[in-house]
Amino acid sequence: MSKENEDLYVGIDLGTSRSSISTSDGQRHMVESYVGWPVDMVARKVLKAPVLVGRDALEKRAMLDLYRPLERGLLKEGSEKGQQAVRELLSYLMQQANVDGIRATGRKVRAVVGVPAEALRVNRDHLRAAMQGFVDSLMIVSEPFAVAYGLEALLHAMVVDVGAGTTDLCVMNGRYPTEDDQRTLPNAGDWVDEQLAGLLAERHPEIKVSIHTVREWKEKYSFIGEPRKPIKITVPVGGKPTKIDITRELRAACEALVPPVAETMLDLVAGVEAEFQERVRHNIILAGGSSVIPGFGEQLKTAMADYGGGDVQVVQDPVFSGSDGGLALAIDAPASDWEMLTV
Amino acid sequence: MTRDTRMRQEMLRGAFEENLDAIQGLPRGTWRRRQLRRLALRRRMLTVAALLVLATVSVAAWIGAGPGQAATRQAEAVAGGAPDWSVGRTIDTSEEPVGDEPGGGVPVEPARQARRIAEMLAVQQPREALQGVIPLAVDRVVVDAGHGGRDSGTALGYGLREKDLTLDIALRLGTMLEAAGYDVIQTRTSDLSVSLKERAEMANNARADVFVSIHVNWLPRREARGVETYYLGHTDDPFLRSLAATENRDSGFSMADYRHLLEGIYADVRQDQSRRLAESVQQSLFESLRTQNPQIENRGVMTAPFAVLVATRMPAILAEVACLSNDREARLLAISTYRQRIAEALLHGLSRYQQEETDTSRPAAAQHPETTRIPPGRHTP
Repeated sequence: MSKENEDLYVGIDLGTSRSSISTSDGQRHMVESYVGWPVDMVARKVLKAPVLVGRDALEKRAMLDLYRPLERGLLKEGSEKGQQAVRELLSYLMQQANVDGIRATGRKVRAVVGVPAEALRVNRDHLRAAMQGFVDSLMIVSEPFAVAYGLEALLHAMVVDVGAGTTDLCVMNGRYPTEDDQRTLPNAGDWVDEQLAGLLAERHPEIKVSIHTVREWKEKYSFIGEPRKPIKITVPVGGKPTKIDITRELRAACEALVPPVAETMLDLVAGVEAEFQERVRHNIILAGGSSVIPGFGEQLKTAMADYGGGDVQVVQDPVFSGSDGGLALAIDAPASDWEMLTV
Repeated sequence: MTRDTRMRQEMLRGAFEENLDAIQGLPRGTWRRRQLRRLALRRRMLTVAALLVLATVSVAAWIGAGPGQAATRQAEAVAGGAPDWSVGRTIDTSEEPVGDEPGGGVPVEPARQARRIAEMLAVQQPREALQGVIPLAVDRVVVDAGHGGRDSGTALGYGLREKDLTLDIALRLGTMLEAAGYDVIQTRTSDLSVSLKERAEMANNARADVFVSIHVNWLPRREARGVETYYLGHTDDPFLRSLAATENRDSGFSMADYRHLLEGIYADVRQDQSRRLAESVQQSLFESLRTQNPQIENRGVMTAPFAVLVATRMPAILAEVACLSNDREARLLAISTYRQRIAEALLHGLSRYQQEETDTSRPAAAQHPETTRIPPGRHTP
């Protein structure tokens, strides 16, 4: 069969904060998971587009009705705009990878979409419906499973996928993970943002900033452990640009993530057969956007010290580890399976 | 295949099945329950095997020595040593004769006895151990791919032919049976014409324990779909008579052969075993396939005088594993995973039959009423 006639395999990581696509013809694209529609005619005239997606939408949010399709790790069902936002986001990713053009040549597109575990439980049908028209066949899997598959961490390993909406943990026992092998926590990137906003509001009630600005500070300066230098930001206070130190608040907000994650990790390890627990503890993979917080992995290691110790590796490419894993799954799945998973 | 590859395949299968459950609107966790059932079955089989091996060893020890002496004699026999038999243990006449040993009052020859025990204990595989001591219900299986060569069986305009489908499923089943330790004989392994007489002779000459013929159905009512399994028996159903006549065409048997074959067959004890085999296979086919084919009908276990069932001398069944006349089932049959699922269901049905037959405590086995059709509800779990 010639290359032109081969199916195109696609891995998609549909995340709360960022979504990415990896394709079997070597493309990789990422978009921030924001979709916005101009709020009125004036905004539409200024923006010159009926809809904006990604960073563009975030930056022009003042003129937009802004949506995050996977807020808190769940697809928003029920609202027409919420459902449309998912399709716009997917459409944007597909355009980036020229999937429509490929389908027009008669090639079939087989996609594996990784979603937060909670969305997998609640929104699977909705997601299938949203993917209609974009791909020929679709398999939906949980994000940490896709990451584990892509990294070949299939046996005696644990993936801790710290996203924006949820933290998903999945222990890999050499078989397809069941619900008992997985946990979902609401403590993730967005939760840290809320903690930080709350702490800042307590200490500096005069500061009036949106959660988006707080999120940007966190993404730029976040850390766990001892600070290397004080973190000072400039914000308008009473109309006057003022420098304030947020080191203490930022540290407290980020470190608040460690106890629930460490506790859940140890709880999952306790469910593994006794003779393999040590191997799992020493094979923990930290993935997801929030895994890049400096010092996070080290702090989780410290938390395991009292339980026999362990090792935590941070994935090298947290943006694409999910979509690359999805792509690996898509390529490995037998053609006959794909025939039965048509959208 | 490496362990890593196997794990990957298992995981892909899990992801696939979970997605399929969702598409088919099955409750969440159907796949998981299926996985747990699979694990439980595996555990049960291992437990049974372990218990039987234990029983084998105990029987061997008991043969070699009286109570209390078993352990010593066993060790001596395995070590190949020559214990002092000068006192000459005499087998009590009330004891059951074993193998070709004389039954009463004859001193057992020590070296011979030791050799025999050593042979019994030297077995490596549980299955081999069982063959020596406990009769197995199924050891050699004849897998018969229906039709072939000039005879295409039923066919669809766009290229799906019964002879190709049955061969594919038969080869898949054969591979899995061999992997499970069965001795497998295929009546054909390529697109060959093999008469029904030759198929039956192959099975009889091989002294097979079980004969499984695989067919694909064609029903006049196009919306009808499902699985049905036949064993040998009389039928008054005009459709089944016509179906049997069609399947028996070009059988290679003369009228004289038929008269000879038909003498007394309905009183044959193997009919009971065939019925149990048919029930097990039918149940397995229905339960397994309905996960991928929720509209599948359990068309039941039936009796009919198909030539291959008449002429074979072992428990024999003919399974109609799908209906090519139904568009949906035809599409499913075109997919290799569905054919693999059929083969797995046949394997599971055979294994369950084997398990039930090896269970020696089946006092109610012969008490089933004569049945020509088992209502579908009976097989519904």
